[in-house]
Amino acid sequence: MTRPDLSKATAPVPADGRPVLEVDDLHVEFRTRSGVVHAVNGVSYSLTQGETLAILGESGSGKSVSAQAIMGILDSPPAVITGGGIWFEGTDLLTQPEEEQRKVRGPGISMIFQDALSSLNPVYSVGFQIGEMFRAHRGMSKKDARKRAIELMDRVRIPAAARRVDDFPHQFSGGMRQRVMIAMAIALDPRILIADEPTTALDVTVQAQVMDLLKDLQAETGMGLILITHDLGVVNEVADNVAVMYAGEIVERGTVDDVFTRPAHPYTDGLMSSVPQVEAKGGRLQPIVGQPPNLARIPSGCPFHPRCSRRRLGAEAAPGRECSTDVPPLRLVVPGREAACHYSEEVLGVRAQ
Amino acid sequence: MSEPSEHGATAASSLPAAVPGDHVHSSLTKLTSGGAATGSRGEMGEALLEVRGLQKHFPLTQGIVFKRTVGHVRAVDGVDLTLRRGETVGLVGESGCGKSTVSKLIVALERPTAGSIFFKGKDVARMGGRALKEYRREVQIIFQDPYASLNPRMTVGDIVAEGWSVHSDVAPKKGRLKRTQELLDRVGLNPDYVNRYPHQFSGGQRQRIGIARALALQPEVIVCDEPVSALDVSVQAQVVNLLEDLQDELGLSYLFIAHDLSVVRHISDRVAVMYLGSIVEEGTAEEVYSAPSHPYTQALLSSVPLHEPHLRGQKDRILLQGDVPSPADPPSGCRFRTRCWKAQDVCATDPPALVDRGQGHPSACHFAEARTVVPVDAE
Amino acid sequence: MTDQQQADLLHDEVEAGTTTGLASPSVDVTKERQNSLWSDAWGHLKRNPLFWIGAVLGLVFLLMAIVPQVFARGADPRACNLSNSQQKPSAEHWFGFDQQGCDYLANVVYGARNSLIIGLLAVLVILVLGLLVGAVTGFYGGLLDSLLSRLTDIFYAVPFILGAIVVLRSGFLGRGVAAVAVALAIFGWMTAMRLVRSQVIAVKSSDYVAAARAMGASNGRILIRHILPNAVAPVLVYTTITIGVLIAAEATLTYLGVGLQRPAISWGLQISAGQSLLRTSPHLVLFPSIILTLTVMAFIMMGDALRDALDPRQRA
Repeated sequence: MTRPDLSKATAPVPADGRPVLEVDDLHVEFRTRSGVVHAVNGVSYSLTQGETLAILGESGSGKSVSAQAIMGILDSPPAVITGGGIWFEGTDLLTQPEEEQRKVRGPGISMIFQDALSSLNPVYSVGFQIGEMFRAHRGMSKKDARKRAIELMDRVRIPAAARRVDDFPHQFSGGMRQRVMIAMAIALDPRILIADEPTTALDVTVQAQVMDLLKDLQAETGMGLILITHDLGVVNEVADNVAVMYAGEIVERGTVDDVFTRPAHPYTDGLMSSVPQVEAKGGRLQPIVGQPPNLARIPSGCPFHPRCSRRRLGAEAAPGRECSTDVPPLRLVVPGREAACHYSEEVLGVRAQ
Repeated sequence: MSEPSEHGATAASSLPAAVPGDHVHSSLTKLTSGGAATGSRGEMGEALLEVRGLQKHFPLTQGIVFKRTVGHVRAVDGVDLTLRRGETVGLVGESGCGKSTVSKLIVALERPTAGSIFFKGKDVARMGGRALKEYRREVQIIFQDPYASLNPRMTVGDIVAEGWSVHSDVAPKKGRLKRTQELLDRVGLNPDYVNRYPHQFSGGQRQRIGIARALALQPEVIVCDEPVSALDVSVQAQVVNLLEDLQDELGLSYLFIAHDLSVVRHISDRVAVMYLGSIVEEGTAEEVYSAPSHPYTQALLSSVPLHEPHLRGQKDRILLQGDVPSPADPPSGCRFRTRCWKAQDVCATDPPALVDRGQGHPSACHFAEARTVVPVDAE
Repeated sequence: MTDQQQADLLHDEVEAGTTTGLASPSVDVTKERQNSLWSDAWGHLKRNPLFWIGAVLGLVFLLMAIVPQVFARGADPRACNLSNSQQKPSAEHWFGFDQQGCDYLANVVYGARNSLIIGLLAVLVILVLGLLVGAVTGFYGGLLDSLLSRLTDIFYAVPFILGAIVVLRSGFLGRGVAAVAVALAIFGWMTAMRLVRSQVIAVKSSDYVAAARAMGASNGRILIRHILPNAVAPVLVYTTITIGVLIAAEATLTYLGVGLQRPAISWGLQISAGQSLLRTSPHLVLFPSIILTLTVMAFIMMGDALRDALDPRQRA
């Protein structure tokens, strides 16, 4: 039962290193009765084959919205994509007609969600729902689809798949339901799998099983994995690269090793010191003051400045780097690391000592 | 731990909540240590709550008008716990292990099927009338969901002050508003917001209101049922720090129930691990986390993702097979044997007692053996 | 830094909760008014045109019931002259005359009183019965709940109108306004009771009720302070809509000849009397029907608007 940690199994090296998916300066707004909510404000990231990119953020940081935009499952209205592009294998999905988008997305990109129970239809057996993917997209017969469904359930390590294929979602435990959803998501061999808080609702022992499964499937198929989560530990154990989101923007980006060892943005730094670790009792926690901002009223300048312990206001600030007025762009701080803070070098320096 | 600052030394802003004014501090201390209702405060370390052989079985019924009992869910099945004055006992376990039922039993929201809860030597199950009312004043609860735990139709002030209309001897009618405001101030809320309603506050702020409500009755014990798991990561730490500060200041004892092993390690003095209705391992936080001896604890700890990149891959991964068995039909003998790699014949027949078998702290496993699964952060 | 910048900054800080010690509510900090859920609902209601149409209509009919003289343009509904029998509407007499030669506008206007009294009285009985039985069954549960719920099922099994007809025909309540109201309420309270019961059960298991119980609060206190205020919203919506339904039901009963009887003035009686003359004098059916429909709609619209305003799913 004990085995070495495989969570960092080497991913297949991308054939040409070209990104499979590129999100370019994406803007998404929600136009609600009580005002415009700026959920995503100029977010860019890319994903190569076999890469695991974690998007780390708290609730209301816009981390799920960008993924929903990629999948084309934003409720519109109220959501409106106001700018940017989503490039998948060389085509901008946003400029394509809806029918075309569906053809590209269906087999190319798939997604799993936090709440597996509400994502599965309670009145159909899980085998039927997995098989549906093959019937709808590959035109398979009912019998073949059922056979493929059993294979897939085996592949996601559901015990006694042949016996359980006709069971209904409520007859499975939370972890098993999440596996059913993963089986549906990988049915058509997607190039990219987006996992939105896939283990948040699960117990920690089950979470470990599901994360292991995702990593193994990725190693087998070489698909790119976008992992949306608020859990620093999961990011550390699973992802290659991480993008930290705050108030609808990416505030820091780099490899997990770099970002977690030496954060360059005060928000990332604050997050690290406010979360207790299982590996040490640690001293007093150092929370970030205040609350995450309301996306309908994002603070001026750097959106993090009202909560930031390093902000420089008025005369203290260097010219053009006043935290409450000048918006810090996401810029290269050291090779391989970008951060959206006027004073990232300082943050890096302090942490390095 | 006694450093009252809510944030790092470099933080530019000052927080009235984090650095309470002297008047608030002293009046609150007075609030909790004096007064006729409070009685005398005992020594630190004195056992306040002793739970012995606690059981709670929920009947499974069929039928509409005349219900037939067809079985029992053994939600809690033999739990022993001791909570001493001024300490925090962490109770960890996965969903469905019965930890929330334990909290409901301790605050007397449910009656135990068997076993007893002794508070200062008196059995809570035998209490009635005045004694029970007094017990309910001394033992308060903080809930997980800050949205469901506050009455949406009551103002914050009314919510915090409600306990005083039940226990009118705690605070005289005159000056209740002032006390409410002091309490709000103490938990880090603006005292001017007494007339606001819960839905106007964020999750973290609501949890502070819940804490203020619990504090209003000057309790000795607070049962914290997953108090931070519904909060955003950056807000969790604020609430954890607040709980720690209040404990230092008022000498409170916490039973801290959570599934987040990191938070429990951080806040607890002692830790009890629960599986399928009973406690499988118990000890100081250090003992349980550095030298877990029950296979379940080891598996649990090895599943928690680490935060430090340089420790990644240094731990043994113990992947458990299968799911937790149903509490309506638990396995014979040791509850964990169906998923345990050490299981032998004896495990199916003899339930292991929660005792020290030489590993340094009590563990309910016939083959208990300390083992390090969480690498020690050298930094 | 300019004053404006400073003001902006302060605003942002307050938003993020730094200067006020994490304390400012997440909603608009500049607004002084304290919002309860009820006042929020009112704010919502105020912006709903459906509510205003319903409210204005409802108010007009209420005034009509209280001071019919004002609306009858000086005519007395009982001052009739057979020579005017079945005259068509004119500039002088907007609704024309009925078969007896009575001013029809005055008749229709005076009919509002009985309709509204019956509607409101019946709804009051329904509300009281529903709250009482619903709260008791939902809160205490057990055998009492089982028995009362089965009793409700028995009432459910009898069609509303049929039940009322049987009661009124039996005669032991009489045939007055109160009798019709009670007959309607007896067979109309079950939905209200079920609504209250299910709400009470839902609220009973909420954490804030557990918190109050853990504090040692008594059952009465929990019921009155915590459960009922949170359980009444759906039943208020239901009863508002029901007023309209009851008014229509009263007209139906009266039309069928088991409700109010002459010389009482009521829309049901007018429609009933008018139907035999439908071919020669359609206005005799048309006017009371329009007014009846408008009244029923007014309450249904208000109920709908109230539901929108009280529905928590609409709130972010």
